[in-house]
Amino acid sequence: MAEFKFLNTTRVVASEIITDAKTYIGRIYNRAGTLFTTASPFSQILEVMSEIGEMLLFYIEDATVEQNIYTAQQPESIYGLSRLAGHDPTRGFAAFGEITFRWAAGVDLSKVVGDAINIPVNTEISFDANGLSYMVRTNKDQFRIEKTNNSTFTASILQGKIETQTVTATGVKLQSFNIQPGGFTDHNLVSVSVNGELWTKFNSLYEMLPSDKGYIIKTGIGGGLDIYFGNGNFGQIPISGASIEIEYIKHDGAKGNLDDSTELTFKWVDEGSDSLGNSYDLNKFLQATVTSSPKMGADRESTEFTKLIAPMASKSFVLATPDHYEYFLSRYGIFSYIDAYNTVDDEYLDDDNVIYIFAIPDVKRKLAKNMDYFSLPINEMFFDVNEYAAMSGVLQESGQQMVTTEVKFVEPKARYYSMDISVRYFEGFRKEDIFNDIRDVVSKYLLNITRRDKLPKSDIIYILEEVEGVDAVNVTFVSETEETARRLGYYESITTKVVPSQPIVLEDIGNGKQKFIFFKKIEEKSLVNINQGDPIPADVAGLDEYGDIIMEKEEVAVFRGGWLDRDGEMIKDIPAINEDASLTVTFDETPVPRTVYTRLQATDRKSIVRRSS
Amino acid sequence: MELYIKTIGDPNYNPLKVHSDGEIAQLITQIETTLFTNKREVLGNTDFGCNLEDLIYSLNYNNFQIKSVIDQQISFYCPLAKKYNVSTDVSFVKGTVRDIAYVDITIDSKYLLQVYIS
Repeated sequence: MAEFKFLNTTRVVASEIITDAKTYIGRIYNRAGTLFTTASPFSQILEVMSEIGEMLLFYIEDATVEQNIYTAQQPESIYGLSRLAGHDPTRGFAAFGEITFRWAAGVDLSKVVGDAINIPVNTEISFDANGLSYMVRTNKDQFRIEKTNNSTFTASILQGKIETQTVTATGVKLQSFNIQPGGFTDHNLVSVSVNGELWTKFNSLYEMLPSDKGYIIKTGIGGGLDIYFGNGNFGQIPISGASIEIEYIKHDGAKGNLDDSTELTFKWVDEGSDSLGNSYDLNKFLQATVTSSPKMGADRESTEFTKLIAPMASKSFVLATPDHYEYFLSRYGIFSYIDAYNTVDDEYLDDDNVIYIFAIPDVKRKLAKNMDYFSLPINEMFFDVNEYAAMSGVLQESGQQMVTTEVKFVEPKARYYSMDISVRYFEGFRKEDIFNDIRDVVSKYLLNITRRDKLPKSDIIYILEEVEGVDAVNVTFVSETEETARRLGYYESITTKVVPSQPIVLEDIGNGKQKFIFFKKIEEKSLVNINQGDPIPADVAGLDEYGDIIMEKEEVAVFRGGWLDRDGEMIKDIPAINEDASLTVTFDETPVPRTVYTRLQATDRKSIVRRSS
Repeated sequence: MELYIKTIGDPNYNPLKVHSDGEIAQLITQIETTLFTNKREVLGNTDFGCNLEDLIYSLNYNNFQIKSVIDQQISFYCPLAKKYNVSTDVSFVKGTVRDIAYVDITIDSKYLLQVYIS
């Protein structure tokens, strides 16, 4: 029987199994294996069976892989699994802002018939900066601007347009409908009416009482949004034939965000009207300004993001832990880094109900054409007051915050550095070309780095060695705090102490209010003199013993100029060759001759790097 | 040894046979399989097959090109064709509805496998 054991348990790949089978058949029938081609019916059966076997294994593997959210590849599987984990994949958020408007100076109001101009709710405006449509929102039916009223009206604006779709109820329990709007819709701003009556949105079926006219909305696994109604015990059932109208905001996601710093102008697209129904071009009658540029717009959640965020979903729909805050805010997709934390582990008790949020914007989204890390305005590297206010706003409006919890946004502390790069280069390459390539790769690195503890110079050396024309490279980080300390001959040292207060004291917190202080946080500042050559502590210099950048929890390393080095030389803001700047590239005076051997060496080095990576 | 693939109606069909032993019989079986299989019909080998019907009634092919395609397929998929002298000939005659194509495959000048497509 041993002759039938032609399959080897160590050769289990389909191609190996079929080779072994053909060898066996060739041996038994005394025929060379080469005769078993696809033209042989016998061989063809074997080959096709092998292919079917491979397909079966593929389907089994696919089914297994798609059941784990970390290994799944199909969007339907990832979104479906995240739904099971309690996460509702974000459908996107419409950008929102604020405008003010009033009668334009010198306008001839006699052209307006009646007492006022009416501007209906959701009147469309269009920004010149991106050409997108926005709606002027109000809780009322319209804005009424009396001719005699010279005050300024404030209104929120929302990017996108309102769309509605209508479906017909079947009258069965747990009716569900999938709505495909084709594009991004706002995750929160959806309303559902049944036979013209507005029903209430719930987060879970179990939140509904039998009499509640409610529904729940989830992101559709195959796209769009799913609407679910109750079963009679939990929420009412829409009766058979009822008209269900779903209204949502269709928007352009992150494209709807506009920069606060630029001069923003917009046009009124829709017209206003008087009490007799006459139409008026609002651009001619109103003077309007943008008080808060549209922001917090976000695209639909990517599958990669869903994989990361789904395990952090709060099952209770309450923002309880720092993780929940990270989960909630990161859905807006505007961060390159977000860290929410509390300080319950330290001895200072007074801020234990505070959730601190440290967030860095994703500056890649703010890059205009022909702009890189070094030419990006520095204020774009951080969130401004309006953006923090918008983030606070969405947290408060969510209604998911715990009453006793307070949120504080931690403003990042920028620590300035410059990067000195020494380059030995091959002859035949222009220094300017190498410099531009170096600036490009370093800029891309700095824009994409999300590491928050250290910035090793070996990373920079690694990417620079791939630049054409570079033979050898060395990188040095120069810290502004160290250079200032060495120039002045001293540095400032801060020591924080927490002291229990006995008895309990009241402390003014502004607005005529006081709060109880149980522990007092005291910061002591002292000046430490240094001589030339004295070491400076790593936390002061922001550099470790290897010369790598180290970042404290709230620090951000910024490569910018505008400060003096130890010799009193000004560091320039814009990268330069052989000059002290945010990015200084110094070339060897003599290039390395480009011989066959140096070329071979460079090629070998690159192939070794690629192979090892 | 090769599976006997002739069916009722084929010349010299033997209902008692399940496999063919001789090399010539194996070669004929392999050539028939190659000729009457269309490309992409065999799972896992999309290039196998002569696509005769498409080939013959395509406007882009003449006799010599069709012969070349058939020879390539036989050469690649029928190893016994190297041992025996296999030659291919393609000719067309006028038919009533459309032209009739004859594919003659001769093995060692003794055995003729003739296919006509009308």
